[in-house]
Amino acid sequence: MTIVASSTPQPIADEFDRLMRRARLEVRDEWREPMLLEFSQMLAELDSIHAFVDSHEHRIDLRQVITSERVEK
Amino acid sequence: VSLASLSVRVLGQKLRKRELSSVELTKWTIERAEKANGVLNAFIRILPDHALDAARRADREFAMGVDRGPMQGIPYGAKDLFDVAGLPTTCHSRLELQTVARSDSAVVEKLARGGAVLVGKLATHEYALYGPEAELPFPQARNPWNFEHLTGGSSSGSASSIAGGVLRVALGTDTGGSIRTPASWSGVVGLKPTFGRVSRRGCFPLSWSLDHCGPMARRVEDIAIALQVIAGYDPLDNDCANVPVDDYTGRLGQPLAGVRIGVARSLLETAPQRTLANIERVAEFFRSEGAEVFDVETPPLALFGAVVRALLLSEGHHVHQANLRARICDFGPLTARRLALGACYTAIDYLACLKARRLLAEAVSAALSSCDVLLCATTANTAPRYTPVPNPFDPLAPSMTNPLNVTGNPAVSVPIGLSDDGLPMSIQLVGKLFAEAQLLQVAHAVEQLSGWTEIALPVYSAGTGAASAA
Repeated sequence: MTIVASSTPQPIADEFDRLMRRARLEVRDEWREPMLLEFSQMLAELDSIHAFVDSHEHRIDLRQVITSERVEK
Repeated sequence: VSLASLSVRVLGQKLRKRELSSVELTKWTIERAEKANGVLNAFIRILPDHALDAARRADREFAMGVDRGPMQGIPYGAKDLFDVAGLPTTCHSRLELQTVARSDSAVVEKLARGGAVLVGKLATHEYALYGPEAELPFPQARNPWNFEHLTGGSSSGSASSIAGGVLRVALGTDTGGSIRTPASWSGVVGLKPTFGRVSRRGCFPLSWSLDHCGPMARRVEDIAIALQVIAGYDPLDNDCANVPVDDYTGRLGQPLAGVRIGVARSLLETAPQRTLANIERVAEFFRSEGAEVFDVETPPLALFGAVVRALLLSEGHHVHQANLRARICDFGPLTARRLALGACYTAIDYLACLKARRLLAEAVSAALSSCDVLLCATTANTAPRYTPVPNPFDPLAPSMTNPLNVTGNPAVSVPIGLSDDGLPMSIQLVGKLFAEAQLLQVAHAVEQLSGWTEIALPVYSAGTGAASAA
């Protein structure tokens, strides 16, 4: 793979490359930069999701269909 | 009177009175589809033989007094994600050009049982993901209101064929807004029913926890009629709900007095002034009809978008994993890049998203406990130009349709007028779970009160580069 200068911090770029290797995906060189940008956004979003979930400690049955047990009077 | 101006209900009356035959209607539709397709690219495949066989059957049954319901003898189109026995389901992708369906998808089966006439398979974004992108085996469907602006997707051909005056009804799918966004940008009505209301069997999946199938149409009444035929339990779709089907046309035209409308302000937090003004205009319609209108609290828009991105890309990656490894360059670049990113989520991330989804859904249900219908926007703006291709996950402009894929509530995009630059503007209404009948009652009122029904279809032709309203 050709190394392209990226504005993404190196640890994040390294993690991205590791995940693509683990998934056995060959990413074209010209795709890497826009994918790194989205990957960084995804990581930030995941921080928000985990923080949101962690702020609600009650147990949720994840096997339920999303429409079940919902109260809309 | 042009056949393009007649509703499904009126066409059905004419077919039953034998003032019009289904064969005549179908021939007219096919001719119009073939002519329009040179400009709009809405159809991947037009099916004259298939359609005329179905139309002849409908006419024979009308003659024998056999009534199969409100879609009998009526032409419709299906996004090319829906299986039709013996035909390719291309998903608008190079990877599926040789994939021939062995049986009909559930909704195509129901429509066939109801005597409807399938006239063609419709363009989409590749695998119902994002776009448009150029490197695909079929051209992009174009927006009849203005060719320089996007149709929206992924149900782009469905929206284009309806706005282009070819079809009254088409099938679409909606995983993050793929029925409602093209409906909004192309000036048609698009309904994402409740999760589980319509079977997804035989429809190519994008993300099984977020995918919905639903109708798109010229008018709310056409939507209600189509939903009547395609709704209902299917034991072969694990997520299909065993909930009785309502009468979806019965409440259309009923007064709104006493109906409670909640304005979902937090779902409008990124809306520009023009969109907010449209919301206020519709709120005023409701008040003038005796409905109660007040603000309600819902969670922030961005969180819904984050959950949709994670669930959609995780599940989408799983669906396409083998092809991503073996043939990644056969996907369009946008599709390949986004589906590949699905490999970056862990199981812990995925489960956190499922928990977040439930919490967000319960918050929206709490909001819907104080009102009957939520009012918000379908899209922040009218149809954008082709470049740059919009990023549906732009953190600075979160999708306004994503929240209802997260919660599973029914949501409909209704056109309300044209902007100064001649592009359709719409609003989004959200109903309680499985309460499509009331949602469509309110949507029908908006359609009537806004004056949208007085606006003619756009006039378009090859070489003009831009369409104009008639």
